[in-house]
Amino acid sequence: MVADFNGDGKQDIAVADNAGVEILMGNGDGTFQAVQTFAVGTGGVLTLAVGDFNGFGDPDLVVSSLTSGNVLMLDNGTQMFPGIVSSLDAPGASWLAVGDFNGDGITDIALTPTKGNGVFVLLGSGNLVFPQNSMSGYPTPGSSSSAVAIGDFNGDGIPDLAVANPSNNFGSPKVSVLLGNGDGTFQPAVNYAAGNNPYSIVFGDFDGDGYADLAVTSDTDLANPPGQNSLNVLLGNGDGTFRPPVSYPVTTGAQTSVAMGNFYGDGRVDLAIANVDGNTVSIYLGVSACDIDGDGATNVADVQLIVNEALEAIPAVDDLNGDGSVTVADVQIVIDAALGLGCAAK
Amino acid sequence: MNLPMLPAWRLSSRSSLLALLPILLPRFGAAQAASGVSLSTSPNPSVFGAPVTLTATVTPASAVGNVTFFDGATILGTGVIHSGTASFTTVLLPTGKRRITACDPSYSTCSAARSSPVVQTVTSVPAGRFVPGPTLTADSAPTSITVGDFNGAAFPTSPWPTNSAAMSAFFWERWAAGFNGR
Repeated sequence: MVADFNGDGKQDIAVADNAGVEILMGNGDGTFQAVQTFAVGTGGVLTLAVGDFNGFGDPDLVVSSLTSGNVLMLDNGTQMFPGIVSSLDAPGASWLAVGDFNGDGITDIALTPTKGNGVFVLLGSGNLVFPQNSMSGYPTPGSSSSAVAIGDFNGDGIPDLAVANPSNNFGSPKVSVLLGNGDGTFQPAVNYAAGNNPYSIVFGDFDGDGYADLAVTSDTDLANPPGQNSLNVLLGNGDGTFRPPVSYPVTTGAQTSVAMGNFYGDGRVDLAIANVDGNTVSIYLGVSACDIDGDGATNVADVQLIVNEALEAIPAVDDLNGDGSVTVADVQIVIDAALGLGCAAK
Repeated sequence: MNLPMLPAWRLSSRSSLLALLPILLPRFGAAQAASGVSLSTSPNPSVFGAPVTLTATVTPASAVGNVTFFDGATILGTGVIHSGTASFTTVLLPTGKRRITACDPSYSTCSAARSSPVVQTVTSVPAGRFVPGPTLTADSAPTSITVGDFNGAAFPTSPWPTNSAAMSAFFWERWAAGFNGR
């Protein structure tokens, strides 16, 4: 997680570690100081999130204990993370995220458990203490859940939840969307297919229509048959519902984490994916639908490619107008885009 | 003077002393009323990845300290108060209608004294699909990744596999070679 933990105006990184919390203080030039390790009791940390949990404007931490599974709160005050402020008995936390779910200006927490499935919501009191009765759970399909993303999926200004449920391996894989009511409660999960073993999830407006979309990566390990992993994109309808996923096959093994950014500087959403099996980070660049070769521009090369697709009658590869096949109409769309008239793909 | 009962951990922190100021100072008659904070953003709307400057105006203008800026519950960063204003520029706002607020925690907690929210609209350029871009060699088994503006260049943003501290120099070498040139 990224935050300015020491208030020097430079971004730092917090990492969950077997020894506790590791902080890398940024130098502001892309380099970092030596790792500082902050003990969290006697055990390690599985995951963490940053938030201002006591209202003093500093980035505090909520962490998940690797040994007990409890949710632990760490204060960043005069002394940085001197110890555990409070502990909440929780079913573990494979993922932690923060939001203000009841609109009271106090930071709340959402987590997916390590023991079982679903998503849990902890409503904050503004004092780094989350009482046991502050936690409520919502079921999701399957037997486990691995990540939660917080966004406004229906445009009502209230945080909603999207949960990845990897336990539906090869059965009925699901991403669950729970719309917020604005009072700290959520509606029952609505579930969507999202490839095999959906594990990590992020939201962004990928197609530029003003609605939140979802990107989901798989955590099917290399022992499984090739082609089981994929990046799945679910475009949002703006009302809290999502369209069926568009799947991008990957060959890098399990993809345990996905983040979004504008890496190319073109205002499009790109994705960065951690490949735990391949020891690599994959970048997926968002490109115009009319940029057939994906080189960042629409030109005569793209026209040639779409012409070839139309001549070869390749079904729906670059079906820009959504009529089910690549035809001269799709070629015309690319020609118009190459002429600078915009890409009218649907 | 009877002070409110506070947990010991709060009394041991800088923040806890700040929390007492609204109680102590008016009784001594030496403090100004709790500060007010107003917020503006520019440009609004903005394009995803482009810099957005958040400016807080603090009263009284003699106030000192930092203002913390939030996107919903997410801490964006802080700005130092100079002559009644503090600003912070970010390229990391997600897409959508972002509810931005500012807080000067010097006089009260952020939950009690925030600015009125400014809805910052962050639009993205339409993308029809994703294509594989650069593949970066990471340290062993990266399990998590996050994005930040670590070099202050404000462009481009940068991915970072968070299980590796030793990857920094190598990553940035690859960044310069791989991303900027695409």
